[in-house]
Amino acid sequence: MTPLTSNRRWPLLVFPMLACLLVLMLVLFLFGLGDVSESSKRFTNTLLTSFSISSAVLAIAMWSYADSRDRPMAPIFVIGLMGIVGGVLTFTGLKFAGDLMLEANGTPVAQILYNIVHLLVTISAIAIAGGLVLGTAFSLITSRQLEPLFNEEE
Amino acid sequence: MDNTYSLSTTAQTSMEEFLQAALLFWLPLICLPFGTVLALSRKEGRRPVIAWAVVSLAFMMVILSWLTVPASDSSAGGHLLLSIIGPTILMGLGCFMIIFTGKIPVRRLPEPARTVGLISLILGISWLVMMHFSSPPIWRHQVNPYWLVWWPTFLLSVILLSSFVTGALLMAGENRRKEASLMAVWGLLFLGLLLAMINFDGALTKAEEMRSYLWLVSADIFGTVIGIIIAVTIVASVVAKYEKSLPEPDTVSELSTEEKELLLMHLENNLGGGNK
Repeated sequence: MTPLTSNRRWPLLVFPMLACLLVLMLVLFLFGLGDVSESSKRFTNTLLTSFSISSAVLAIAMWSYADSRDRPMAPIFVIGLMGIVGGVLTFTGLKFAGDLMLEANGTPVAQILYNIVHLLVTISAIAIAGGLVLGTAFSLITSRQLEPLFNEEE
Repeated sequence: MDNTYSLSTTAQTSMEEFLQAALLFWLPLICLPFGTVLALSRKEGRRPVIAWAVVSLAFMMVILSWLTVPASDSSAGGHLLLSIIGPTILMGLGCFMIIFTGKIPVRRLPEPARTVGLISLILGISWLVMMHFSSPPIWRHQVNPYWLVWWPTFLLSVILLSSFVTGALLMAGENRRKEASLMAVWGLLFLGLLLAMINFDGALTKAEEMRSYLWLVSADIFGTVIGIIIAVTIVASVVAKYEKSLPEPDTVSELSTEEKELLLMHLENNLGGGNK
């Protein structure tokens, strides 16, 4: 058996996911996609929203890190870095996706609020799917008889 | 004069609607993560009780926002959460019962709970499938737009995560080929559901429409995951830089033979199935 740390086995984690994605994309192309003209805008909007919200949450968490490790400048450094990366992402998004407003939203505020609720919906779907998959995996694992942790020496 | 009055009334009405949405949807939505963090940050005292009460109230306000602030477009999100809460509870309860009737040394439930759990899991999934094909959540006399985002995202996530777990079982698990195969079958079941969704029209949804949504939610999932990864990478790199600059911790001397024996005895007593 190849050891767990072997580089030869890590593709086992990624290949099934990539294969599934490829099959799905192929199926979608075969059946016809319909109107997907907003996909690059949707990608940019979700990327910027998830980056902004997770950055805000992590920046708050950095304050407790700064206290516990006595590094008072850490949150400020992180916030500055996030601001720069956020600016670059926004600039790149605007350059490649153009106007980020989706058709259904008339104003930037409406678009931002829509993005937040949209992110909530996407994250809830991913979280519930994750819970279901983990639950199923543990159900399968616990359905088998326990193997003894210590074998009696003969 | 009439026009001025009409414009001022319209502005006043939209301001009232905005305030209502802020108080009855956005404020509770903000309270959810902050309340949870506050509740989890301390175990003693009244803080966790009050924080959990606030979280529960906020969650109720969010899922009932389609009744309290029907004019706000964001209330569709609350309506969707209310629509999926039933199947989610059933699936969660099902998994819990199946896991804790399994062969684990702690908190084992009675054997019949396994069948109940399995039925609950199947019912939860069937409920969602039925929602897609015959009765999707209706908001403002049409299919809730967020349902058309949630359902393909859920199916796609289950497929991708199942394939990931299958790979993880094969990679990290010892003698877990059977579980990995069953996990792959589980993923294929959802792949079948997804193919049915993009091939057959539902009562209120078209297959072609769902194909477009599937493509768009793929963009959403990638955008969300990449955004989170970038933020985490930034924080991780800063933390790693700071941690590297910390002085090395004091080293402790190696365990003596008596200490090793004592440790082994405790391990065997606690992990090997009780005191011997």
